[in-house]
Amino acid sequence: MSTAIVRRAGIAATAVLALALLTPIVVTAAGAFSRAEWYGRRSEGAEVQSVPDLFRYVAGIWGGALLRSVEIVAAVVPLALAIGAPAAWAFRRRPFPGSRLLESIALVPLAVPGVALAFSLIQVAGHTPRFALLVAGHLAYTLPMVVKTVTNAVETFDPRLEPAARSLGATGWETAKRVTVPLLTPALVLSALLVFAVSWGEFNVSFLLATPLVQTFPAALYVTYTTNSFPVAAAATLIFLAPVVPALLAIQALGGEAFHRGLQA
Amino acid sequence: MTRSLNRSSATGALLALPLLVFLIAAVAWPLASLAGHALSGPGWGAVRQVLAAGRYRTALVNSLGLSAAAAFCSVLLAVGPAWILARERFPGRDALRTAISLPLTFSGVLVGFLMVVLMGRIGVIPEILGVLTGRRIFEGAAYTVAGLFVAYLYFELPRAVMTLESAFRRFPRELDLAARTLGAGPLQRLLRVGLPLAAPALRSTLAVTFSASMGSFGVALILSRRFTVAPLEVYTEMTGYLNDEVAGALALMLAFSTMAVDRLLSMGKR
Amino acid sequence: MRKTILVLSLLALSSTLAALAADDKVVIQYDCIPNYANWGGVAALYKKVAGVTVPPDPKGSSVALAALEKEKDAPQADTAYYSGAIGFLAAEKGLHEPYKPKGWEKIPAALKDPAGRWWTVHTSAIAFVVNTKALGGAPVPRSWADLLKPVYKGKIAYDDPTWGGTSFTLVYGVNELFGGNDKNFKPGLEYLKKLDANVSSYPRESVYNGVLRGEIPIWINADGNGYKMKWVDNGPVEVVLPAEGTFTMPLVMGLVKGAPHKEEAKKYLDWLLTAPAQAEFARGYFLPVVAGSLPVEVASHVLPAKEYKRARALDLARMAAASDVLKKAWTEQIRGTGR
Repeated sequence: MSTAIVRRAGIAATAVLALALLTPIVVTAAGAFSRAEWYGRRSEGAEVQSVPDLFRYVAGIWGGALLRSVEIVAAVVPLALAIGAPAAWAFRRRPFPGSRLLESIALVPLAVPGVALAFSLIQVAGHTPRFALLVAGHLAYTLPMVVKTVTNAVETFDPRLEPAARSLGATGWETAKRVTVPLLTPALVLSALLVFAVSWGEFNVSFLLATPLVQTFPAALYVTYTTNSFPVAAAATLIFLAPVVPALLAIQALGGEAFHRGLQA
Repeated sequence: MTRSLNRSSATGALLALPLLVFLIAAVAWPLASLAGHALSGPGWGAVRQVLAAGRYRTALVNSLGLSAAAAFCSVLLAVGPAWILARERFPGRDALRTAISLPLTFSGVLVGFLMVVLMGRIGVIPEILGVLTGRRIFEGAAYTVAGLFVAYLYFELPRAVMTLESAFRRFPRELDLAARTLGAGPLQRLLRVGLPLAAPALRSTLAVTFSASMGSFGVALILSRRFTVAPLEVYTEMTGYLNDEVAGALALMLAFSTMAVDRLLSMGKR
Repeated sequence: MRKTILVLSLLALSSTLAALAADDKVVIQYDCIPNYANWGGVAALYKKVAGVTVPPDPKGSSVALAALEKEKDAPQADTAYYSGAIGFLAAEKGLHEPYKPKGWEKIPAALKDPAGRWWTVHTSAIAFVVNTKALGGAPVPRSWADLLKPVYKGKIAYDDPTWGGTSFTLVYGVNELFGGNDKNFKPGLEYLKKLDANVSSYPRESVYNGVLRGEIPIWINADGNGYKMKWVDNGPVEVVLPAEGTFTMPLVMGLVKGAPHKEEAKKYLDWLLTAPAQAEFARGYFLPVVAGSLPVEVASHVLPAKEYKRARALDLARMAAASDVLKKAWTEQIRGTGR
């Protein structure tokens, strides 16, 4: 009997937590469509009189930052996979002296505060184009996820499959293409989604590395929060969330075990 | 045999080479340079200045304290939901999990903004409470240290729940069943079977949430008034005062303390 | 294979988008805050008129100066906008290239550098911008002395003077008002220390919207911002010029030495002195430098001229020379240990 009660209480507590986490977002989303009188005045005056105006206004001013975020993600996702996945596979299937060490070092960037990394990158590579530094910063925080997700996936499939293919005459390249990659595809897709979600929302490194020409959308979000009115800021927030929510749903759908493994520290 | 082992290792090393090169070029080298600048000549003076009593040391101490408190509390609050999500089946479980994991992608500024929406001077909560009770409770709470702490919790809870859930999922069901047959109630099972097994996972979750809090910049940027944290000071020194020496020294101390705690917590795990 | 195609097409798409965006002409202005002096409206108008984008930039005057100094060898900005003294300082430091925009003659001599290293685009005055609804029953403050009253505890804010030029003008001016000068900051800092008890924060960003929404009841800033809040955004705002006296403030710009988009920048700076641009500034209630006054339609919205008699001008050269020392003193004595 007590088991059932504790169980119910636990589920209720979890539901309360979920609600508490969702409420601010819902309230803010509603703010984008709110009447100005409720949340305070709009300070964009005559230019923003209706809801579509809001989104047009945000896109007009911050379109550049939005584009830059898209470009960065488009660069970071393939790079993270290209750098992280082969290494992760190697850690499990082709270990070499120091591979354990390298694997744990790959996780260390998560413990480096973004501000410190950004500052040191500027100090050391000030003349490198900001875009490249941004990509490097994002990679530092997303590679650990790729490594974790792919190593966990490699651990789950039968280690005899690849040598079997080899013994049947396939070259290393063919084996990779026709055995390994298909087996790893769910993990690769999952990693890609995780990297996307993290890179899209990255602020700590991006804000310090931003310039008026090269800034990411989260950095632009900060400016809307401070210099634009609430409905405009809320609209910008919605634009930010738009790609992220489907990505997260996809992660959940694909998710289950693989998702949680990707997150395990 | 030895030859194929060597070839296998060589292939492995080759595949992992880009990762190694990236880590050195984009992380190790810049950080080493940061340390070098800070610990040599005029930089050393800046480090002493940072560690001496005053604004910078306060910022470091504030960061450490706030991050430790947020990490500890979020892990504590996460244990229950994580256990439920991992071990129990019920309708709506996936929906709950999706809802809880959504804030994982939010940047700190977004979390700060959400707090202001809820509990700023004209936040939704004071407005509603004002209408209901005539007193605008929690007015401006977002800008207090307590408000900042709540924001950090919001920032960390999804991470803590998801990380712990992974770990709890791996617990062998047999242990659970065995304990149940021996008459242990769910709470006892949690305390005497679950938690000891979970100790490494709890430690590493603490490490992850602590590191994320230490590095968090956006939340404080939006919310903090008088209470300052280290990343904020690095930013201010860098952009406002052009004081690269102090900014560098502070950034180094921030990175060093975060990594040290992280390693300490992760020690002894696998 | 499918993944490769997907990835490649994404890359192609983003490169195309990037290429399209690159065709957009830009002028980078440091310190281009949409809500300050209606830069949002001005930039939008310029985009419509000339097809050139001037992206918003949240830097305050002093941060803009610091950025220009840092980027001396490889300038990123074309122009910058400052509160008078900071712009003067930037010119002194050799960060600007002499340039006399079209309409130069129309600017009064006192409001420009003879060699063209800086010039005023519009002027304003330091005032209390008060959100009367957010005061919560407390009376509207009318003087610097009023601000010290305990009833205003936690209700006052002024920007960090090491970030924004408007606040620097305020700090320097208050010092002069209470008997100090560019060598003696004690009177001003003493007052500010007492005021600190009532201050909720020293923002390093524009809090225009915060004041409008009521997050900050009393903001010591430019009067133009207050009028805009009242007349354009229909906020419950009153602008107060303190009884003991206040200060006028020229807002200046200059052409950055080594500007990456120099030709476009020159056209932009020329345009800012034309009637449409100056009218747009007037919509934000900042006095256009060319006309020297607000258009008739809005002239009745501001406080009468006799109130402005107690706004005095400050010596830009002396302010600039004292800026580093004063900022440092303020940081040490007022900003304190960040408890």
